[in-house]
Amino acid sequence: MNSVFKALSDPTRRHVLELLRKRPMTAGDLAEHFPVSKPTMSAHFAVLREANLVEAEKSGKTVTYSLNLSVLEDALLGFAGLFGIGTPKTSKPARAAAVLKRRTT
Amino acid sequence: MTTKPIATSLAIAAFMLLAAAALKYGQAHELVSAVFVTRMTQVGIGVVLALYGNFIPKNATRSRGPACTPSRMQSLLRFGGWSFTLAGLGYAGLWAFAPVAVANVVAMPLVAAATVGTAGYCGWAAWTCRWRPAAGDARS
Repeated sequence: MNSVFKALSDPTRRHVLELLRKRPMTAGDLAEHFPVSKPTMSAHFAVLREANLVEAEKSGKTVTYSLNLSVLEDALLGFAGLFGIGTPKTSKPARAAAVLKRRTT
Repeated sequence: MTTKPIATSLAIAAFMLLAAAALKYGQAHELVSAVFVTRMTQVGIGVVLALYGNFIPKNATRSRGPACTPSRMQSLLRFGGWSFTLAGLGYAGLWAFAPVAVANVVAMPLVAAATVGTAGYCGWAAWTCRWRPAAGDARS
């Protein structure tokens, strides 16, 4: 259960699980949704696999991930997302800068 | 892979038998009332249903039906899991806290609704998968 909490504590891994809720996806398709390097994504996938939250199926060079959540884990994912667990808190000036940047672009 | 779920199921079965024997013993020796025995038995059934419902999406992932695409199968398993878990918790909660007359009337239809809902969803998914695979399915 500890590995499950560890896996769900990271917003990127939670986003991966939310994407997999819609349908099983390949590692490449999932990586396209995140502005991080492939080794970083592989590490995230490894944590999710270790916690048995995703199932990987290899066919040739492609690895397809599908969701493997129990109802309790699904509910925990929802709660963690709802309360933003693990999401870095930004300071007021940083938030204002982010809003300003969004307005100008 | 299959030994762990079997061991867990056997442990749950043993616990249920032991609990039933203990309740029967308690009732025979007038330690607990007949209503208490009925309530505890029904609560146990509800909790076990919720436990099995909890693991439906996890353990049944590999048993993909031939007619269903992975995304439909995944949503079907999630729907079934949530339905049976909530029905089981509702069943246990009603038998634990509601008046016996209310629990008698409401609890079983709750489980029946989950069963019918899941069976209906399963039938719909199988029917639609047969004619039209879901858009964006990664595997067939």
